Amino acid sequence: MAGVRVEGLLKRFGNVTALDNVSLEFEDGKLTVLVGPSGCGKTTLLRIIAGLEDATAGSVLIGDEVVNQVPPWDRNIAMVFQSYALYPHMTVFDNIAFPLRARKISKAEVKQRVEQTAALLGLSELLQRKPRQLSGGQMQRVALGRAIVRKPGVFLMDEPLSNLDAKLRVEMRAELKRLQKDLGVTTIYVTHDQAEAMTMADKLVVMRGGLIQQMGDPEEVYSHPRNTFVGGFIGSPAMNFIRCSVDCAEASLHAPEFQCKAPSRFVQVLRERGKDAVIVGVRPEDLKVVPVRTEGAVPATVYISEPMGKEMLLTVEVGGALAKAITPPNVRPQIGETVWLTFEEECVHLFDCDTEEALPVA
Amino acid sequence: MSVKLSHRYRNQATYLMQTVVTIAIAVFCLTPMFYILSTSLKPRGAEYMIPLELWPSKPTLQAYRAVLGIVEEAELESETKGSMVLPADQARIVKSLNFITPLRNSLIVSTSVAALSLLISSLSAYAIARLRFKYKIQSLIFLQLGAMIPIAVTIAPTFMLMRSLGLLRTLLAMIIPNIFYNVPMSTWLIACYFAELPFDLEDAAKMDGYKPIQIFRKVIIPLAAPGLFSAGVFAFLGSWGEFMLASAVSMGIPAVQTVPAAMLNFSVQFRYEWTWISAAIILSVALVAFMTLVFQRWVIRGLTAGAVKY
Repeated sequence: MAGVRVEGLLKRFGNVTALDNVSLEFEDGKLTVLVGPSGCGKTTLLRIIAGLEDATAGSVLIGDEVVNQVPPWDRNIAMVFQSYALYPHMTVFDNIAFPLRARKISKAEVKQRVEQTAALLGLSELLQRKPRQLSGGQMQRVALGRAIVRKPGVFLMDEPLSNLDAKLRVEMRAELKRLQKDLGVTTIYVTHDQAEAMTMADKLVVMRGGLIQQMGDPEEVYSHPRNTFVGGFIGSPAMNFIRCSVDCAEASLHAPEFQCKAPSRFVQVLRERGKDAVIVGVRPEDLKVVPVRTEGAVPATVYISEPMGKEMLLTVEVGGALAKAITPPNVRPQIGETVWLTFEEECVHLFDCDTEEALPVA
Repeated sequence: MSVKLSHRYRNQATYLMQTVVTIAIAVFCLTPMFYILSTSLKPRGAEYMIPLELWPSKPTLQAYRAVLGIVEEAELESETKGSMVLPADQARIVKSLNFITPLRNSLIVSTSVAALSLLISSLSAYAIARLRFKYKIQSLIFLQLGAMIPIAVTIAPTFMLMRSLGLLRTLLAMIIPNIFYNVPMSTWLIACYFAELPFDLEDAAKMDGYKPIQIFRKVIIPLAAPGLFSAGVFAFLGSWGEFMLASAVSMGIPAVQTVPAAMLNFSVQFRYEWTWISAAIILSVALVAFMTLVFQRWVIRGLTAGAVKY
């Protein structure tokens, strides 16, 4: 097993900068998730670590060894691809055995290890089938089997669940996480699905535009987003943002038909910076809908309600913007109805209007 | 209702016309071969009989045995009554008849050309289809430009090159140029198949511990086997029928002549022996016709290749 480190990685494709001076450490034995929208550079970073792409500048270290000049076949890294990349002309057995045969391992040992791996992944009955005879979930497990059979130092996974249906994706997420815990192999996992990222990661790295936006424990990233991008990307439904003017004297925040007291932890920094406007962020699950006005409640007009089974997703107009709130399923206001929203002070996040960075807490 | 009937009638009329035209073309193309086959199965001298027989009343393989040099002189003599050849020449004729050698030479040349052009083409096709480098498309076009020069233009310099290499009157003088006549087409055909393979497969093989040449052998080649087979069949059929170069470099030596060159000699030397000439023609085209029929799917794939973007 080995930790992975990248230092000052720069990658350009012509005039496009895919990675901009990225430095990261992937802890030994942990599952680190790179999450971000399409084109943020997460797959490029993964491919550079794998050796399938060369960095324009910077270093990749596995353990303590700089591996920039080491070809991918010598890096002791296994990779699971989004498309699974199973060899269509080989059986499941041969697909899983393929990396072992590259290392000139004896036939007897190849057979033993392949059968062990197949048993672990529930593939024992499928060893003589070809990939075209398998379902999506089975193909995904074969791709996993091919990765784990050779006991690599690092696993790389490039959106391995994105081709599965929603139900299977949820099942495989749990299986993958458990497998990683059992094997204890350093794993770098790329996804654009923030829910997948939150559930699987020991450490979360949020990327955008070739830059790291924030990294840390999933709970830390979720509870204390560093900027509006992280706040809006992590969590589903996304965080609500309302642009408000600041009354430093009153320590209050104002928007059309919206007013609330500034959270006490931000009052000092608001006064010190003399801010006259901020972006207020509140997560939908932190907004409570009450039928009648209470102290501190803000009025909102129902735009649309979407029943989700175990909860109701309400879209409301508040403060001149649309916001979402999650309510119990029995709360069913009509379109155009006025409802009252309340929220706890500690659930309010404030961001700078110009930089969109989170304001520091005093 | 009348529009429907009219539409249906138009479809049937079109189908009928297409069928009639197809049959007419087939008859036009196949009638000569049918008559050649019929003549090859007649006894020697029977081709001059009046009335003309469309199909021999007593088919015989005598002409084939004669052409392959396995007929007895006695058998030949008994059939020469009324033939145009003088009896004193019978022994010489029997000994000089030997179509097995050109058939063997053609088989060696065509098989070698197919195998070696596949080897060269697959490597260049891989570069064009799978690697990133400047002027990739221009390289492919440049390769095809070479193929557009007619053999009649290049025959003289090719002959002189073979002479300076000391290869005249050898099979190599036919094999080497034919390889390069076939490389452009084979490269194009194989590149089409290579281009369709997902790049993820190569990336996966690299991560599994394989070097590029191993990936080429264990992953790319097996998956592109249909394309390679098509290219091989094309190269084989093309080189089998190549006459101009074969005739020039063999310089009339029967031991190194391939079927097309030997066929010309044969038809001049035995110009009145139509049963023998017919048998030689059938032997010349039998293998090619059989291969085209059996591998027609691969031949058609080869003809329709080129529809993939690089």
